[in-house]
Amino acid sequence: MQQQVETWVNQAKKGDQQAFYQLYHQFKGRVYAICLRLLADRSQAEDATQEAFVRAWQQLPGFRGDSSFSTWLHSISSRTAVDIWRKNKVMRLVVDEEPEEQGYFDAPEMPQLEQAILRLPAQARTVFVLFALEGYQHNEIADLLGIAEGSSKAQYHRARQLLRSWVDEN
Amino acid sequence: MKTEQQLDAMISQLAPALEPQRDLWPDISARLEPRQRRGYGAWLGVAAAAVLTLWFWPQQLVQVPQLAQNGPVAVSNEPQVQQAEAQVPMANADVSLLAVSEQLSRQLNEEQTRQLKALQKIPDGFSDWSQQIAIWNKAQAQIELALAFQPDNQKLIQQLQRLQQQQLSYIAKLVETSELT
Repeated sequence: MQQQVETWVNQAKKGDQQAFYQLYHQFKGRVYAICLRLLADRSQAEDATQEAFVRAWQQLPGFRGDSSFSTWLHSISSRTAVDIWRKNKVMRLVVDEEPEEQGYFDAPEMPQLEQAILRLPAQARTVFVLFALEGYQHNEIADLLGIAEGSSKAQYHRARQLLRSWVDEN
Repeated sequence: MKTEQQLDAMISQLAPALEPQRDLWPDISARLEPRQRRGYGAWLGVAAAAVLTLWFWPQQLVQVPQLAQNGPVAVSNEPQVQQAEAQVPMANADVSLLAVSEQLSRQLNEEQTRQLKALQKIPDGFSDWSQQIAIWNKAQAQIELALAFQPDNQKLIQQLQRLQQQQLSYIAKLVETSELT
């Protein structure tokens, strides 16, 4: 599969949109998962997924293969979702301090922890997803979100605490 | 309450992929612009070739008379003064060509910087482009200063060529990415 992905990447670099569709088909689930977990909103996650793939297409000629395509695409997806997250934060004007109400994200088909992640307060959720699921370090998260490194660590521990208590509820 | 270990175990079991509920491709496809094969990037390539040619040209001019001088000197009885006099105009020509080349190189850099400043959207990863360009310019200026004292120093010339190539490649990449953004 890795070799097939490399072939598609090389073809897409040259402008082959059919090859890029194959890449989309292969990675759309992962990209959407990142976006949904970061934004906790289906509609916004879909928009972010589309935006991430458009950015990937635009930046593909500069992709040199220093990392795998998957890692590179993950990075673009995280940043795209974080950009939208930042806009949301500005629009909200205040940082949410309270957890979302139960049922805010109605997705009974999802595993319990998945639903609990989507219930987390926006900043705690974003930090948790970036650190625990995407492998970012706290200093990188601080740069991405424009917060102090200490805040990132505090939000992460807060997220874990909430998740532990919520998952235990059911 | 779950323990930390139990939570970690649950995290590790999360699905790596979640499927969107609708087909996102049509909207993506509509926004994919065809790749541009020629444009400002091609112009930069020509500019790069011009600068490199300007560098190689004076070196070749200098090398040819040096070879010519080395031959006759060994078999000729001409006074050393004449040889020295013959070298002066060539040295002057060398310095003059070097100066012209440096001048053109600077003008090219200034023009590139002006056009880069006109770019409306700087792509991701290039936000510090002006600092990068400034670093290259500073390094080049230092080598040019050293070349003023040692115009024939091949290592310095090669170093300057490398820096110019790096700078042009960086600018070409920036512009190419910007055109696609």
